[in-house]
Amino acid sequence: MIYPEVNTQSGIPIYQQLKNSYHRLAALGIIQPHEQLPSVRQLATELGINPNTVQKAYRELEQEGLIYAVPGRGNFLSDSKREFEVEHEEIRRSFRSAVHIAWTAGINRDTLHELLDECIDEPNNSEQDR
Amino acid sequence: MEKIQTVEKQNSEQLNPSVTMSDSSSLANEQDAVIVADDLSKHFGTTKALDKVNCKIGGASIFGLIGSNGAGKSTFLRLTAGVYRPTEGAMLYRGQVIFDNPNAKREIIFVADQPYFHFENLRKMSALYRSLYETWDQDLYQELIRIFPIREDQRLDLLSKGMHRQAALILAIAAKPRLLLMDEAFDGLDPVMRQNLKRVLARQVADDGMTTLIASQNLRELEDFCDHVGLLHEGGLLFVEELDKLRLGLVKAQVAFRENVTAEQLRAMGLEILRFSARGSLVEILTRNTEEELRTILNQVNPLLLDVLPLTLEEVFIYELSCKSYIVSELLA
Repeated sequence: MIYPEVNTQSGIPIYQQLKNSYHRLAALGIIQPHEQLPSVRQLATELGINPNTVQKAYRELEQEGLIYAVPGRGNFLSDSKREFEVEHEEIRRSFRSAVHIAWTAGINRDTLHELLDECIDEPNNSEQDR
Repeated sequence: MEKIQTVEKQNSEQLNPSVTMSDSSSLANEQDAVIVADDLSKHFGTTKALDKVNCKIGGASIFGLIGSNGAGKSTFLRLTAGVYRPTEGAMLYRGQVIFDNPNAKREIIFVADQPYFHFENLRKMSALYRSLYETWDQDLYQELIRIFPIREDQRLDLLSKGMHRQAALILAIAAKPRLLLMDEAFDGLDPVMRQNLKRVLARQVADDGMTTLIASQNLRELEDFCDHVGLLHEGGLLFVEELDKLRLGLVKAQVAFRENVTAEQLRAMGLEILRFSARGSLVEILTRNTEEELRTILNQVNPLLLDVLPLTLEEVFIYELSCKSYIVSELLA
């Protein structure tokens, strides 16, 4: 069973971190469509976080269509490739506009590359923008 | 860490029906209030330890009660535990008055700031608890004395403060209360034991729908674990709010503008600015808008930099309180 990561020191609400983490695990294919997610109890106990917070994250992920609930059995990842494509298109657009802003501000190619590496190496800092 | 995992497997086999139940239904239910304080006051002579407090705490909630020394936290907990009789108003547990009510008290356990033990070791204390609480779970107790390692024959009065507290928590949790009250729960526990306590409490909430009320002076202790927080100050409850809603109402951003932009200009564009502080060309803005509104409005002036930053709970409290014009530095010192 795959558990998402949370950082209780980051200042980002934990339900938000759980949601982001599941979106990423799904986008990367680490969790496969129709694969079962840990139960609220398992996840809360494993990570030492409030079960209500897990419940809230699952509820919102279900509303977003990333997961579906089967009463009495638990939560499963949806088969939602289409939604990822939409999401990727949005990401490309906001990335282009960020690069455009940086470019017009006089930041050169090398600095932009460094910045990109930095964002990937320190995901907690870049996640603040989400 | 390993211990709880292995033991947890045994437990989940024994407690099978509860594993999936919590996935389909919401845990915390605000309508179904477990605790209701109704115009609750407690006076000691001329001192008003609590003054006309109103609040509701929902079932399966992990509720954080924040306040400085003398704010009334312990008084509130003792009223909830039925140790004190209210001077005025009422403290109710599932609709019943708690004071002098054995039915209510059977389901409530209070872990005091400085726990007191009637007997000298855990073996005798656990026997006492087993006889007092029908809900006592001997297997859970055996698991807990391994997780918070204390020998059953260890002299309790010779333990360190942290170990003393662990002993009290073992007894309280193994008695499986419906409502667990803790005064400064995490105080004196090392980081590993803190995490263990969170994991054990999380499991009890998920399995049994246990309601938890934790009082603390330290906001940071609670902000990653509670779902609701209430702030007590000088005997009054200033506010109660769902933790995530508190944060949702405020957004902080770091912005660098191309040209000089004033707070007034941004206000005219629709930003509800609470704080606007410039350090050189970098401006930090705190607003009551949503993140989306903030981005839309600020992007109209084409900023060089726009970073939305997470808020700490401490910051959230400071702004909530400054709106109510309290002296905040004193409160959160």
